[in-house]
Amino acid sequence: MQILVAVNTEPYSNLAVDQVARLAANTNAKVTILGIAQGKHNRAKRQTSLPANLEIDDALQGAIGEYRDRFVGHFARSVQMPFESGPEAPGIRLCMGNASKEILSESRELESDLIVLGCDDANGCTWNNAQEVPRQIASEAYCSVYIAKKDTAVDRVVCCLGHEEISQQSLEMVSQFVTLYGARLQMVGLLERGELKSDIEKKLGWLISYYGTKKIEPWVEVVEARKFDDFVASEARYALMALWMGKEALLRRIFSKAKMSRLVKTSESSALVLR
Amino acid sequence: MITTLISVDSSLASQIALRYCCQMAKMVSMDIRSIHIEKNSHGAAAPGTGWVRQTWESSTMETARDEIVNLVEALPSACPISKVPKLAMGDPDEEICHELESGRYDLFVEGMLHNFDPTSFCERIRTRRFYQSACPVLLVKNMPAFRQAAFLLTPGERPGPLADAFRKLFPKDAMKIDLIEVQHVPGLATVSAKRHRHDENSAALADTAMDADIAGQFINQGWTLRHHKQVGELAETPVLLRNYSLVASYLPREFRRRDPLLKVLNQVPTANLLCCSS
Repeated sequence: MQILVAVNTEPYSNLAVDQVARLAANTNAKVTILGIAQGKHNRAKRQTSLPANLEIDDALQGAIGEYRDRFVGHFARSVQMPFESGPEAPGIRLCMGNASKEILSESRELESDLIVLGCDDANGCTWNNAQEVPRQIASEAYCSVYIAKKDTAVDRVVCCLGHEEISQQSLEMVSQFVTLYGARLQMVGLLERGELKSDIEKKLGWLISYYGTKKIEPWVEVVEARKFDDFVASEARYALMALWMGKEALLRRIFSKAKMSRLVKTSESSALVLR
Repeated sequence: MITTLISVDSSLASQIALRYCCQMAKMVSMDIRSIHIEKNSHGAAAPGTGWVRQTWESSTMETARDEIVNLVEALPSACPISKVPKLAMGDPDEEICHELESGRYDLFVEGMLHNFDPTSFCERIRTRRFYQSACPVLLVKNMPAFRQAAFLLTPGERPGPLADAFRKLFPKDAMKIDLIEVQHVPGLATVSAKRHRHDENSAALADTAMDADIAGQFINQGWTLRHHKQVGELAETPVLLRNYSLVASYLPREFRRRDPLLKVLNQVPTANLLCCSS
């Protein structure tokens, strides 16, 4: 699994790095830390080491070094060493310019499975004070996105399913997040005019069996599509909302980009968009 | 030995209910018998009459039986369930009520997917097989670990008959039990839960428990659910109810769609044990 963690010099990036390290501890994930400096678009990158000639401010360069040490430090403290040869150092990339564009472009280039970024949740989940980077990434990325917030009382991972095609990577991600939070897994099926489509019902049954083999006992709930907004509003307070947004997904039709932005902005807990 | 009738079809809800019963059978001695009622298709869906109709009906029943036999075979072999279901074609309410009356069952079980909207829950518990059942009804929604149960009562309701029904089904130390009182405050639209410390429980709640001589025996702690208008507290009731493997209550006497008790009962994500109050 390829994980891209986008960081800047703000404290919320620590949280993103910590969550990625915890995720990577249980998977064979290859992690890349993408540092983004504010300034004119001037892309220049170098993997695994800090660039020498790039005009990036000292604060970001220092922060990137700290994030890398922080990431590796998790593995040193971990009882479960994921790799026989020790933790693989994360790749490092640096860039300047429009953060959203850079993150999306970088994730495509690296063929990332998951983009992780923190945000200032005390200030409407912003990035560098005013930008709405997390919301744009959640809505526009081609791969899965995890917006890490300071979770207080997450007791469930609520996975909303509106279609039957689910990637193996996203199944694994859900399982990792359940373990990460020590939370209950709740699968949500969407009803259309009171009916649960037979393929969705079968998929829910299959998911119960799938996670059962991993010693996870999911609970199932169904929600009428037209009441989905109310459902999200009531659940996002205590749960990590994980939305499966496939190309043909019912969720994509009923949960617009604007609603996604609102979820990212207002949710008290982290948000996971699965693709 | 708890003689149990479970209504099954090939749905996910039935699969969950079957697994719940098998799990329950690890705690108590059970004899689980399954029944499948194929809805009578008078009218448009029924193809032809006479021989054509009979052939279609027997083919439909055979398919249903095979599907259920497959479901039962997928259960743990130790599960004490009849391998072949009882099959009938007709009105589910009528057929199940008839079977419950004639079979001297201790428990009737049905599965239903937990629904955010209370409408389908209300419709389900309004059916005759629920409110005319000769025995307690267990409506299974999800598969929890059996740790803690709750009695959910409205002011003035005595937990005695509910406790008796519960005692017949579960051994004394099977689960910790909380007592939850639902208070009605007219004019307030939404429901929320307010936790009280044990010593702050309402006097009425304590008296009710004492009357039934169950307070010292197996009541763990008391809660009060109140109707509240602060939407911000709306999520607290589901959070509280999520802790229970089973919530036992009396079937509501009236079925008003906006009845707050029905809303609370619908929010139970695991299983509702429903008994008639008289």
